[in-house]
Amino acid sequence: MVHAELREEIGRVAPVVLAGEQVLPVPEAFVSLLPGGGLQRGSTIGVSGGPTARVLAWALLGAVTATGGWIAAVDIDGVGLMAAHEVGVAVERVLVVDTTGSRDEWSAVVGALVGAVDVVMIGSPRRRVSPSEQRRLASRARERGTVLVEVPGHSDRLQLSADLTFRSDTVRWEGVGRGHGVLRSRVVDVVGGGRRGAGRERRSTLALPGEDGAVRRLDASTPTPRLTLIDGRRI
Amino acid sequence: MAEESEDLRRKPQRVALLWCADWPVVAAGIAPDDAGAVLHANRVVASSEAARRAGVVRGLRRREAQGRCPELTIAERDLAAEARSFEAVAGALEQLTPRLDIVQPGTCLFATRGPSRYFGGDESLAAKISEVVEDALEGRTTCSVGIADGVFTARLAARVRSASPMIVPSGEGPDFLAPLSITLLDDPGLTDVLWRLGVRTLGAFAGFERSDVLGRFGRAGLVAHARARGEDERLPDATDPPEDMAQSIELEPPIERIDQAAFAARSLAIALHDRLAQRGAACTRVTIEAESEHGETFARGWRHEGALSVAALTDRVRWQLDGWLQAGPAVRPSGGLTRLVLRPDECIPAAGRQLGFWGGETEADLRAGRAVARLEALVGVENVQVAEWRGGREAADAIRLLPAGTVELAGRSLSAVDERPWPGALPAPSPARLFEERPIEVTDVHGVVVSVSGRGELSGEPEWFVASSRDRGRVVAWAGPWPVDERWWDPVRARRRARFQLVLDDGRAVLVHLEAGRWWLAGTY
Repeated sequence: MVHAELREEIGRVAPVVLAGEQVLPVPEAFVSLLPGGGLQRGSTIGVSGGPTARVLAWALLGAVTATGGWIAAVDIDGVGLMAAHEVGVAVERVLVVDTTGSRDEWSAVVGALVGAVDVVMIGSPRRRVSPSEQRRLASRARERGTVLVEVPGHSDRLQLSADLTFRSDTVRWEGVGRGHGVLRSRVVDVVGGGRRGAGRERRSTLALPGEDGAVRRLDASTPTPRLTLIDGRRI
Repeated sequence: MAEESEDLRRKPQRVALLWCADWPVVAAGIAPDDAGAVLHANRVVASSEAARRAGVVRGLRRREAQGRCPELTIAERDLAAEARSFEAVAGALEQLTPRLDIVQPGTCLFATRGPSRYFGGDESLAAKISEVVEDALEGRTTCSVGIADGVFTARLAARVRSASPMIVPSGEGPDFLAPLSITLLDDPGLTDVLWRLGVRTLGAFAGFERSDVLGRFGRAGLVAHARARGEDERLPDATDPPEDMAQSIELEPPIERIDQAAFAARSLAIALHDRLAQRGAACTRVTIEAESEHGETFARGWRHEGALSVAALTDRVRWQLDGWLQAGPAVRPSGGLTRLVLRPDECIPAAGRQLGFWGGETEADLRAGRAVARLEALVGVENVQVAEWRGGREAADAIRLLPAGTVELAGRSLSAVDERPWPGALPAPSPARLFEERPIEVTDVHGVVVSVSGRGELSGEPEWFVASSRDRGRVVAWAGPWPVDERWWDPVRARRRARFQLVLDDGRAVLVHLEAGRWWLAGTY
């Protein structure tokens, strides 16, 4: 116990963070959508585009649970964890938090999660989040290395001003005809943008998921290497 | 000598148990003649007598309950309110006994040794309890009293439907229990097995050798066996807590409202839990004591069948304080509360957690665990959840959420998803957003609601999806129906529905159900 606390204290005061620890592992399909090819810890992300946005967010950020990390899902009503599992989230390390009964505590809840888990996924809050609250959360996230990601909750409008944005448009569904078949695969156009260094728009077409259940890039012109070394681990 | 002490220990304490029927319904303010039900997580957990006559029983889903009884009053479960309103009953009983244990709101018990002698025997004590409690209840529900050796026997005695209190004479517990059904043990995992083995009564189970039961069913079986035999159900290793384990906190400034007390409750519960954990113990019975500015003291015991977790302790402290602070003017503290004590009365060895060499408890798991504790204090225990794999045909059933406080977060892998296909389940992908109870309409090209015949034939092709006046879309592709007829043998839990997948012109794909002639949105992909 003392050991763990000491280690945490050291972690807090240590001025230098290893570069490898600053990025979260992401699936290969998303590499071309991210500036610098990696997802910086501590960044704020907004994912829009209706229900597809949730799947996109799970697929983008879920890999962290495979290496022992935790995701908290705050106010994601009707959270479909089976869908999350299918795009690679280890759902046993997802905390599902509901603040609708105690709306005044929203800020305290998100604040408590930042730093405690690796990714905090927020369903767009029902009440207005003031700019100062946002700044406070964003800076705390940056300091603690937690990724904050906002997805559509009960409404499609996102509130937080994000470092990185993704917009998903479903292009088509495959597998279903008129009266036959079953949904197999979804093809999605994803547009990535953001501010500062991430300003340039990046586009990609993804199978989310593909026929085989995997998330894949469909427009890959240059073959990406099959194994990428991120965070010191092969994924 | 050893024989004798063994005998002494196994002799259960004689207790009186009071049980108020349908307490959640009473606490929700539903009159006994009205049809009312209390729901938790969309399922009926308690219903009034009138509602039961209409067929509204525990376990029903909201829409089935409303289907059976259209005038049903529905309330959401509120444990804090249940505990608060039960305080009036507990307070009234205090004139009979100095020491009262609440098992859960609606059920409490106390040892009869002193009171029974004082009031002149078990019969007159039981009559006295009924009288006092009926007064406190003011006709809101009925109460029943059981007096017997041991908590389990007393509970069953209280549940016997009879006009007068059920008193099982000392030493006759086993005879009283013997003809009763094995299912009353309230341990489905165990009783299912026993039932299938042909053991149908408590008496038959009681006839087994203790060592055989231990060998086959382990510790849990041993507890059940002791109950069936009318013995002391405390595990042999239950002990009085070590001295000086009580935790206290001075409240400065004095608290007068429950919201101020919540945080104190939490920190006190954590302190006690940690203190006991250091000694490798967990408590099953705790006394909550409070002192007001004017020197009044209050005390109440709470007991639990298993070990009280931090979350369970916190809840009980909060409920109790709430009960005191909101009691009638005669019994309410005359000033703010200045001191709070949590005193463990009975302990068992903690099941403990074995820390792994590696891969067991990681730094990340520890941090997540601490965050959970903090969040529970902010939004309530039931609003911080983790997933557990259950399996099932629907995405909503396959993975269930349960309160994070009730499971061990470290090194979670037990719930790993079983990848084998579930018969009747739709293949991946699954809906990313699930809905419950969201009525919609699916119509054909003429605007007529599509129906499905008993043989699975459609009245027309789905053409329009209408969720609300603003949310509608044209169906560009569809598949189904996939009929499901679940648990048709069980009138309460049976569900029959046809499932469809629809792809709409705005790119959305939805999962819809046709059930009982109505369309429901089950999820969006």
